[in-house]
Amino acid sequence: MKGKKKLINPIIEVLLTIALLAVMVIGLSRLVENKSGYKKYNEFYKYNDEYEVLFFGSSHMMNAVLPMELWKKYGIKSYNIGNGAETIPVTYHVIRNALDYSEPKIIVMDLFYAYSDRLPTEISKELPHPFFDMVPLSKNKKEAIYDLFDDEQDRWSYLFDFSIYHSRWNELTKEDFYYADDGLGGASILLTSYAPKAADQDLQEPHDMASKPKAYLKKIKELCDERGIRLICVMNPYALWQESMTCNINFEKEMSELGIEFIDLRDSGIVDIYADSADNMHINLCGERKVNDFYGEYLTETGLLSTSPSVTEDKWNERYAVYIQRKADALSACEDCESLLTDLNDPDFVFDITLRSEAKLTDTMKRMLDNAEAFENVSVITDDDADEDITIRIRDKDSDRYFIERSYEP
Amino acid sequence: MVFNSLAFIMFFPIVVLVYYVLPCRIRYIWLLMASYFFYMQWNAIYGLLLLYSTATAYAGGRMLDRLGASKSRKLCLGICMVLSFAPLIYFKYTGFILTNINNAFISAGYFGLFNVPDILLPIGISFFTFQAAGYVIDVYRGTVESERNFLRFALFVSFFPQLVAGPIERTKNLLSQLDCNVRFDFIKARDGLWLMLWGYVMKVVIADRIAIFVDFVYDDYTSYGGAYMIIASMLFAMQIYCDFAGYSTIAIGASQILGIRLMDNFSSPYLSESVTEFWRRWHISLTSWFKDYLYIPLGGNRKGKIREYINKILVFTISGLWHGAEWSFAVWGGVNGLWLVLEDLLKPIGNRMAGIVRFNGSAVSNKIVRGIFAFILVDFTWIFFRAKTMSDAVAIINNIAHTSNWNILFDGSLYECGLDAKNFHLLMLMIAVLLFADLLSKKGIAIRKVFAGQNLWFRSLITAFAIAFILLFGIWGGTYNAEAFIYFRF
Repeated sequence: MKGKKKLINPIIEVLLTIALLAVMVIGLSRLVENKSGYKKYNEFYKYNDEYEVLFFGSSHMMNAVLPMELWKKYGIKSYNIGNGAETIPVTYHVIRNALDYSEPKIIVMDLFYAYSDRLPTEISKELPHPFFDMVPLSKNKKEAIYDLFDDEQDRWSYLFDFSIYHSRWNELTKEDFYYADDGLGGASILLTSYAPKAADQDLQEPHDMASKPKAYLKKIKELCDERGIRLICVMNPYALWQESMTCNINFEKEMSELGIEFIDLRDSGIVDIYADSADNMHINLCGERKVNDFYGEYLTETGLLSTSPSVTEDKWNERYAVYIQRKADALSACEDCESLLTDLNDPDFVFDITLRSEAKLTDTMKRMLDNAEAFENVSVITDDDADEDITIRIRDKDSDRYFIERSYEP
Repeated sequence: MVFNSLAFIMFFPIVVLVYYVLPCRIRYIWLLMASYFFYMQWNAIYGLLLLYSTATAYAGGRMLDRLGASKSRKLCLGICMVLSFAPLIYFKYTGFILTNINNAFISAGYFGLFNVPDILLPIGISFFTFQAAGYVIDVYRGTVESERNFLRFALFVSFFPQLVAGPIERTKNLLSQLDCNVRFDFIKARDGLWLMLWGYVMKVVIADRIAIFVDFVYDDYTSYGGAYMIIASMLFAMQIYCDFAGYSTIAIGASQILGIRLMDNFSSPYLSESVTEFWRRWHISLTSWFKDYLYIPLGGNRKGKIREYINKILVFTISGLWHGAEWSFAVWGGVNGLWLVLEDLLKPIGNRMAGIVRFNGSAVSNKIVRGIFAFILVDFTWIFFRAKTMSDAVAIINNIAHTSNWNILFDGSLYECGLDAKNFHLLMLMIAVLLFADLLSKKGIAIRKVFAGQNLWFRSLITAFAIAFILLFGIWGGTYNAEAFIYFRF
């Protein structure tokens, strides 16, 4: 009896230690983990069986499509998985892992990094983290990490992300304890403006895609074909596209060789780059909404999507209410009028603008206001007795109370 | 393979598991294989060096035994020593010797004679060379018999827990335990694990965190003088302690799990009340090696005071050069020897004065003052140890003396030297915990024993908490490159 106890007690002690350690490490991992992945992708996993369209690619996709507004206006249930500096090999693995959890009918992916043969690690070792941190360990995740990263340390940081996040203990904030989904359907909204100069670079002869992106694009095509998913590749608009390395790729030729449907929106006139640019490489919220409308119509025309109301309509309405609140929060955080004007075409808000006829506005602001004539939710009143050159008041479309009032004095 | 690497964390449990599954008579072969595997992870070729060192000492020991009382024993010992130390001298001191010959010629108006080769120092060579040489001397002196079993002797030289950074074990203590005829003892193994965890706390939570601050300040000492340098030097004293004692503690703990007891290497050194006491508590295995195999053969304290003082300074200077082939290391050792001499010289005067003014030397306040004074003396010498060259050390001391910027203690500037405020505060807290643990240890209270007496759930909680604490607050992972333990360079 005594001998048995002598054997059992150590076993219990070891097992209890392992169990306690597991609880502590899992708890600490969750606590110190960078929450950007949760904020961006949590809603993808929460409602993964509902999405019919998934958007993939770099920041050019992340800042081009607003899934919540696609649903509100077109009834399309989609999610924007695009992520900053995401090269095409990374996108392939992101798609592969995302398809473990979702069965979309259409995949739309951006080709901005088609020019680059660089390893994802040469562009950024960290940026793929938010997506892969959220993917539970699986064969596909492991294959992705071993394919994308050569360095053991990097691989380890993806397989066991506590190895890099544990040093965040000194950066913890309230948000690490009570994090919330960002409510944007994976998209990012840019409330900044940028005044591009006209491109002065002569275009060179079209050239071929880099070999690595091409090979991975082929794999993406095969993956989509296997699953019966329609693949659409796109180039989204941005201000200095003629000066970027992607501009000389003959996409029409390349895509037709690969048998991939392709849309080039860069020179399509959908956005006004002088009013709708957030910076030289991305469009702002106003531009996003214009691109969004294009996709809404294009995707609807495919006839593949079930746009009629579903049983989850209430849940989507709740999500949309959160989305409106996030937009309102983002607008409230803007300190200048020019930033507020980047959301002029927002269907959820009413913009009442008072302007002095001799107001000294920037060229970008003038252009934004000129464009605003087409927006039903914007009213511009000229009042020379106004105290400031321009005053912008914003209210919810169903409310009389302004939640933002900003003035501009040059 | 370093102790704070994933490779070791996977390697060690496998070694332990197989070790206890195997029959006792072949366990040492398994440990030998594991030890060579461990060592050859750095560079497989170095395995040959380890084998050479082993073969030389083994053959020397056997030869000395066969020669019995013959007169040629001394010659045999001499040849053995030359052969044993030749690789160490080649790898570690070739550059140093040639550079100094070149400098001597250049300063005499000639040109440098030699191209100084850039020779990479094999990890742990100073440690296993000394351990093997100690064995040969023990056999020569007749304190131990030569080992007949080559493989068992090879394990004595290469036993992985203490192979690359000590403790430098004595033949009597270690070789006799390498029969590996032990049964798995859960309580001893748990105690060994707790020792290892404490070693990891010292290494990855304290030493590696201090390293960030110290490197930041020392690498740009022209910009960070005065109080910055004083604080960095004080922290370096803690860094080298935690780094080296941390390694030794992990080694002792790992060895204990295998049922093999290694000697203590550190015993609360910064609670010493004199430099002499400090050296009885610091790197005990090396200090006692030098005492037994160099200081006593030189005459020790048996040939008069002057000879004793010369011996002390000489031995400490050589000990300094053992740590690194740079004059700054020699000065570090020499100055420590000088402190010992001065303490010995001033002790009678101090005692007489204390008697005159009826000073209570055993009062706690007096012990604290003596401890602080001893720390200042030791810490001063660490500047020579940490500086890259002798001229850097002089410039740093000059910088400390001529810069007054104590405001940095209050204006937050300290938090801009690689460690933010939270990390710095955590560091201070951990140093306080370390010194408290050392104080308890000095008083003969082992915290591990207290934990061992608690209930099962509490012991489990403590073990899990310690591991989680190291994982959370340790400097590891990500861009962190498992920094080699400082003592690997020596």
